[in-house]
Amino acid sequence: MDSQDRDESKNRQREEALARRVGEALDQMNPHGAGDCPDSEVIAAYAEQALGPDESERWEGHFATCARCRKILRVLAASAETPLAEKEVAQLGELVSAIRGPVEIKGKSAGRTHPGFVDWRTRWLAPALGVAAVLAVWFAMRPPWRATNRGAPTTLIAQAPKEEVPLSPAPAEVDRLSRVAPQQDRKTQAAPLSDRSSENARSLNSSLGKLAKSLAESGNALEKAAPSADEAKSSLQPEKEKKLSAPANGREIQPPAIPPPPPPLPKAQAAMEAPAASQTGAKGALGTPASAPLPQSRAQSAAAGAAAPEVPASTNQSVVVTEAAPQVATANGTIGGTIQQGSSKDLPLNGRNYKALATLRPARGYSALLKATFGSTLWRAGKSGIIERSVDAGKTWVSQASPSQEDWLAGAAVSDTVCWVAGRNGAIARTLDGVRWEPISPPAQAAGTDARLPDWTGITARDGQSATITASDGRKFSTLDGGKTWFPQ
Amino acid sequence: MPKESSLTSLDRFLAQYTRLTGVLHAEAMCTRWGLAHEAFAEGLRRSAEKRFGGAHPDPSEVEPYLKSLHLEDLALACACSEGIEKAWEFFMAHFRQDLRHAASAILRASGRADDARAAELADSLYAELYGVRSSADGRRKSLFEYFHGRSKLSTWLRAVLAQRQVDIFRTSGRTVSLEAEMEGEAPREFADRTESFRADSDPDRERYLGRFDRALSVSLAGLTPRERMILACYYVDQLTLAEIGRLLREHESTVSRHLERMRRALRESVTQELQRETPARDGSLAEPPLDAAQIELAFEYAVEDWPFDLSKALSASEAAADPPEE
Repeated sequence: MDSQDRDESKNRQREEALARRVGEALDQMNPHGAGDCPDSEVIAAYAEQALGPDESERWEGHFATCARCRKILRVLAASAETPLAEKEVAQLGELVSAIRGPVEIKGKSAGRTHPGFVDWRTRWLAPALGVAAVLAVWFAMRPPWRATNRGAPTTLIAQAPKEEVPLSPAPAEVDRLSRVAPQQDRKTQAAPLSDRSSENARSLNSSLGKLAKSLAESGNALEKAAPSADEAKSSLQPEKEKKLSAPANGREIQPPAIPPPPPPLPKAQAAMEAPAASQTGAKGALGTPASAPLPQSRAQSAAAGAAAPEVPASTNQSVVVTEAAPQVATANGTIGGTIQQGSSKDLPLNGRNYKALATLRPARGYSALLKATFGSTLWRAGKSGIIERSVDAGKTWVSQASPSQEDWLAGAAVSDTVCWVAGRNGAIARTLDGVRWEPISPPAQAAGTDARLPDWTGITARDGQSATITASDGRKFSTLDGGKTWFPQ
Repeated sequence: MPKESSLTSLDRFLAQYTRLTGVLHAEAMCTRWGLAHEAFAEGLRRSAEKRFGGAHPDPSEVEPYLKSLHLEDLALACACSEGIEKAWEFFMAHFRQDLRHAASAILRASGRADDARAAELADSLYAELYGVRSSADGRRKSLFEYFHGRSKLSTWLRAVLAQRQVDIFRTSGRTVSLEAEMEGEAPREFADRTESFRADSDPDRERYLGRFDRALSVSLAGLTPRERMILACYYVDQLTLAEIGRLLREHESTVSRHLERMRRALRESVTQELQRETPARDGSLAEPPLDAAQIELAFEYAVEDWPFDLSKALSASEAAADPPEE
């Protein structure tokens, strides 16, 4: 056994010595001139493992004999994209300092650095950041049932539709939303609180109680501005809207364009859209389309809600919201002299603050928000073929005649006037003047065996003639002549 | 008359790949920068020309290559190279911070630099990126023209900085004092002296080393370039297994296994070659196999002196691996 161990030990010593000698000899070799070193791009591509196997092998052969390139690779790897901590930076500095010129004195006893703790740090940080991100998402998207009474019919729940796409709302939309939200808060307050166990909900109530007091005056003012259902109905007219909004916040609310007819809505959905429908007439805080004329019951509930905000329980007496409810503009700091826009924005609402709520999309969904490359023109397109355009960065939207009633799923805005949209069942459309939309024939070869065309889930466009569409099954088709002919990718 | 490659001029390139470049132009969203189709196609052509050299690649090779590029980054680089203001604004907004971080990481901590110097290093790149140097035809040549979309633009920028900084250090390393140079020469002289002394002591020493040289050539041919690189990183650069793994994008345990296997294979291969009867160098007489004691001596002499020129062995193995093209 001893002799076996000795042999084993001897073999290991030989292996170690031989490998060391080979490694050193490789380094001394350096048969290539500096011009044979790969350029920065090859080194970068090698570091990203973007080179093919043959090319990688070829350059690894060079790296084995070129100390310069190996140093560059080390520095590159160490200067990763994430900002480095001080200690990491210090180690990298040692690394760079250790680089010597061609006239180099080598000491066999050179100590080896062990920057292992760098890895430990980053390994620790990655899961921590992941947990933090999950928590942040959970807080932002916490479902409303944690803070509200689910069963109460009068509770207004701002619930995101399942297919919601978090579009970045325009500032104007956020402002309008902050005007809508307190009304929802008051409704929430009227609901039974028995099962509200979360601390969040209690803080909501206390803060909203204070808010409700200061809103009483503004609510009354609104009552005067829209005392009846008839007036509420006529508030769809721009002139009325100006009168309505001017005393409340001193700012004009842009009149809506041609509002599409409202689809029949389930209760919860109607509840969500209700605030937006009443005050601004049509697309309110969330871009909701105009609602039906305000019924009498809604006007009554509005009057009751505005008249008795101080005692939360008293709102139970007559608030039965079945459709839309009037809004109170609350975001403006001038109302009552106590509400600041910033503070109202921070108030929690059904587990969300106003900002988070602003990211919600109404049931009449927009699947695509399209921004032209430069300028302030935007399009949004979505369910049932709806297309709207804004030329003022999203402050106001104008509905446009759509050539299809299919849902639009994707779009590409090329300029202020050229835009493409694509959607379900092979629907494709294009505008060249920013106003008139024309249907584009989809590629015939995209049809399946049942002659059914696929849903287009992606589109990129270069100009009015060139575009590439992506089907839900991943196939891509391109056109260079405005959709007359398509060729697969 | 040999047919000219379609990569040598833009006209020929467009004639061959006009449809593909059109699609890639759209995919790269060049219209964001107002980058013309021809300008982007020229960037693609340059990239393919660089990749395939003077060869005549088949379209079936070129097309996958072009599709594999970082198209959006390439479009941005082309647009910046063209001096398009919108592209430059975007570049400055999105890449300036990355450049600063990289410069800080590379330079600041070298012990003699500070934040200001790191910023200076990063910012000094902008002049070349914009292209102040005039080439022979007086045209402004931007550093962006050397970016061909094979890596991410951010990685390429870091590589440029890293390369530059390493070269600065190597250049400064040339100014080694005469005393240090003398010290550097001393071990070689000493080694020469000891070599001659040992050569006198064992008449078979040269024979063993000759056998070992040939055995080593055979063994080195069995090492892949990656394995040779690992050897150099481990034994020359004194990198840890984790650092090598970071370079090669492999786990350190994988590198460790690689290294272990490589060392054993090298030793076993050399030993087997020494145990084999081989023709002598002049081809006239066969040399008998070495016994265990002789092999031990051969290893000892080899490791001590190491008079071998690996470049010959490697070039022979590379030539064997890459047969000449017909």
